[in-house]
Amino acid sequence: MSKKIDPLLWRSIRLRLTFVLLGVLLIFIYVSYKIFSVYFIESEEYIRDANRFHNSNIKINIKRGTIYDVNGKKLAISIPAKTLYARPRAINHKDKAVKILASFFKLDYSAVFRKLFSKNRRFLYFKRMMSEEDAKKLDKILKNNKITGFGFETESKRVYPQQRLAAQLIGFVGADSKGLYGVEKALDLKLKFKGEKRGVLKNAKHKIIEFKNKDFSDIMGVYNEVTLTVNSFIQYFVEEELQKGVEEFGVKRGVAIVMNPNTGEIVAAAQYPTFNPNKYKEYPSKLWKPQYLSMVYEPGSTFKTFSIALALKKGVVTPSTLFDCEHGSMKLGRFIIHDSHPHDMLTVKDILVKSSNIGVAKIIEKVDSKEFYNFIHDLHFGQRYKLNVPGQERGLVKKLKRWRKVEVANISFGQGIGVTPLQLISAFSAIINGGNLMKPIFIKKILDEDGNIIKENKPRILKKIISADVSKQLKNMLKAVVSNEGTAPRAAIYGIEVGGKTGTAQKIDPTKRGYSDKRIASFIGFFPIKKPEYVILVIMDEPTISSYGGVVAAPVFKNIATRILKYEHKAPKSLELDDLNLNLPDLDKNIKLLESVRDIEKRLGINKSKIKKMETDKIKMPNLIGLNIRNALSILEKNNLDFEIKGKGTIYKTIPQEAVEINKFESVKIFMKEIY
Amino acid sequence: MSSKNLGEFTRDSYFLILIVLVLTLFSLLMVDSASSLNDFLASYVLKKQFIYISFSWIMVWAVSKIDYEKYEKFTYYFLLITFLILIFVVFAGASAKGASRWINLGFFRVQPSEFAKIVIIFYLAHSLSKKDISLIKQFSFGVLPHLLVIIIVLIPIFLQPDFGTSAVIMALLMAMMIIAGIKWSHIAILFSSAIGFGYLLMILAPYRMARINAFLDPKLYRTTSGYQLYQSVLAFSSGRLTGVGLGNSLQKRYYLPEAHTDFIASIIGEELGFIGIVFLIILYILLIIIGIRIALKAKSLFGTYIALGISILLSIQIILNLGVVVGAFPTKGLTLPFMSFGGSSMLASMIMIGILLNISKNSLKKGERPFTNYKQV
Repeated sequence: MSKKIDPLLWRSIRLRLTFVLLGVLLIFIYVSYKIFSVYFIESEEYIRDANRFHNSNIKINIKRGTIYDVNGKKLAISIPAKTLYARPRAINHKDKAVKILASFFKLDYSAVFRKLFSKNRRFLYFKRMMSEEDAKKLDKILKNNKITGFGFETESKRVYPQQRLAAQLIGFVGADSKGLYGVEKALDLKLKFKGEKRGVLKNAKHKIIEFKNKDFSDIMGVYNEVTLTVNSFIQYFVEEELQKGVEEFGVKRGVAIVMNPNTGEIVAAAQYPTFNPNKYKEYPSKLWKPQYLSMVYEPGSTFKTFSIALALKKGVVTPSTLFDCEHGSMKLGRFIIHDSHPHDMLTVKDILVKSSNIGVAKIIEKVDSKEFYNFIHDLHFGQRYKLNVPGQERGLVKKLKRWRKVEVANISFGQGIGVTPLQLISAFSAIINGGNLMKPIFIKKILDEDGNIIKENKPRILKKIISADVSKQLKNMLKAVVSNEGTAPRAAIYGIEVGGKTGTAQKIDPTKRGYSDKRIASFIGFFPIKKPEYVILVIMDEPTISSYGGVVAAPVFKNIATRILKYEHKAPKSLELDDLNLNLPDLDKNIKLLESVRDIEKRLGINKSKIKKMETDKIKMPNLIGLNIRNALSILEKNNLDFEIKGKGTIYKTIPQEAVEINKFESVKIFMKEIY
Repeated sequence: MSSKNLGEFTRDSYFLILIVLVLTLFSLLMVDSASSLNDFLASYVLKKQFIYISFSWIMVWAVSKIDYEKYEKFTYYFLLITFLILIFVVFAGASAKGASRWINLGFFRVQPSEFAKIVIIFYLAHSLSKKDISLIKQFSFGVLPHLLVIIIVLIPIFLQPDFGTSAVIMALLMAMMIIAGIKWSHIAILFSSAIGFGYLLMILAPYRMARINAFLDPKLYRTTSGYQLYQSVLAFSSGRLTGVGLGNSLQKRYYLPEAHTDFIASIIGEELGFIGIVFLIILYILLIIIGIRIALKAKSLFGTYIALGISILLSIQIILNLGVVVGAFPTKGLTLPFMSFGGSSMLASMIMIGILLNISKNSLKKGERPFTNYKQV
């Protein structure tokens, strides 16, 4: 069969084969050189490029801590939310995609189209902070229609379950999880981890493969929870009553604060009109500001309390010292001081009770104006408190050298001086609490996630202002204000001794020099007289029905006080018949609703039951770090591991650690943390 | 001398089986690594490749049993059938990524051009071995018929378009004709016209031009026509000497398209590094050396040419594939024999191994000479 080959041909074949193989070898050497080159010669540049592709820094937003009120009611919580992003160039069916988005978000076709394609962008966030259900729904629609170029990111959404309640105090966070106002801003650092950038390896679809540094210990303990001094129930009463008052008396805006005079703790701080921090963008930005910190107004007659306190402290008068009130009109240099109601001879007490400007001006004449100035300074007017809450104004106290006689007189009855509501209520608290100026407190304590106290604001006396005796005298005088003889009978609560002081100040007209006919009416009251537990300041800015504090502000005080008394079950029997109902809000309702959305434990329960017990077997602990619960579960199930979960979010630690040998069906511990 | 010393595997055979076994196992490992983290591929690639390889080994066993000389008389029928199938593919084949290369059999998509290579080797071996050397030296007998037949068969392959396979077959034709003894002047003419033709092709097809540009400056074209090449080079560079570790490739995470098929070497290069690539190349060099040894010991010139054709074809394809993935050549659609994912490529390569085994089994015994008598010349 086999033909013998001509040896000459055979030699030629071998020779030519060698030639061909040499040719192949040459090409091979060239390729080998190229291989060597990509590994060792050109490699540095390529490795750099590869790193640029693979590595990315992602922002880790640790869930902001919850903000609680003094009773542990949640005022601000974080829930997971989804953000829809688009890569417009990767969208396969543009028309279909736009139609779907337009109908889903109820937007115009053209608006959606513009947003996606007008700027020829590679990447954009189409809709931030969608609920998880909405995201799931939309994802399904997109998948069913085989539309590419969209994806979802998990973020943390800040939610204010109590809606408008204490809005200005809590503040809110912007879309990038930055606190913009209130406690949210003040405690940005404490509520949220700031070193957000973490290195990750990602795939070409921008999905995270893993965290380069799997040690999450540096971001532990930054998830803080804040407890405010605010009592949501009282806050609720205050807001409701303030709104009623504002509407009833045609007031431009109302501000109210409730303080515990003994501790300086702010129990409630409200203003109306207000806003809902969940939809802050829908409200004018001026409503975001906390007026009780930033509003500077002339306190009017409420300030007489301090003038008389100083005179009593100095011993230049007693409550019963008589002054001639000049029948309602007194010339002071070029100026004339008026009383709203003319009086002749009044005791110091009556001067306060009837609120005589002339009387107070005469009392303060007995004190050195420098001492008056210092007293005002000691009461912290014209200065900011060292608070952690932003938005505080300093107020306006003229320099001593500019105090002429008429200025001193004016200031003595609260004109020509600018104060903030917080300054006034703090100073007033000092008058009635036995003479101690307390540091105002908004934040009771800051806890880490394990409940350890990081910071606690205990009551702090800033200064002893007056003696307990003078305080007692003043309390009795202030009690009389809330009588039929005084200016604020409308503040009286039957069966409970309350005290207070009205104030009505002219407002400066900003367009021309001097006062306008607009007024700020206020009332500051407290109860019980003996050992005051609450001071309430109600300010009505530009009331239209009446301009007297005793008319427009005192009833609001009364209603708030009544509801507080009812709430604390300290209301006298007679009050129970009152038509003012306690009407406690259900503060947990919204939270229950929100939390039912993501019932992870429920899902866990279902999965847990699927695991059947089998003979034990040694396996290695899988690496679960950086995974979410869903991925971790599938791995654990595959390995027949039982598990215990602590926390929610992303796994940052497991017990035992990765690769440690364990028995099948052994329970492992998974520690999770919200990392978005 | 009896030619019926069948059934005996030689040392070369065992060595060949061992090397191909290592290669196919390595393929399973790397194809799985390249695909397992890909949402689209993870579910089927390993499974399918395992089936392909298993079936291919059965075919190796079967083919090694059949005396290769029995095919010789069917050479022209094979050639005709192959040509018709290739024509069919151009007009009615299943297409993917702009190329129509497959026939869909339902359970399996066959790429006939892979098998055409074997038929062409048989044709060239038959035609070159039966002709006397004096005829080979004549252009109209030694060059023209082969050139014409190959060009006719290549037309449908070229139209698919499958430029890579066309280039490999052309290179094979050249090599075989050179070995068989055509005139050097003819070789020179062929080379220069091949270069001219290649240049013509390049400037005629814009996509080919783009690939050439990308090849010349991968970085500049890294987002467009050079993307794949660029990502492939990044994979190698990231691998450094020892690789990023088996399974740890980042380039396979959607950065490098076709990482499990034509660009499998990039993933090997990244995960196992320079050392891994050298290991792979050594396996291939051994394979080619054994192929040539078998060729030189074949009992007939037909067998020698077949074995040489197989060895040269495989070596060209291996070098071209490796060259493409490191950027030494412009991108072509060429698989890496025994490594890339794909049934047709694997099966065709393995059939070649089966043929080599059979040639080796029927080879000359020790001391036997392939020619009449050296001393009498």
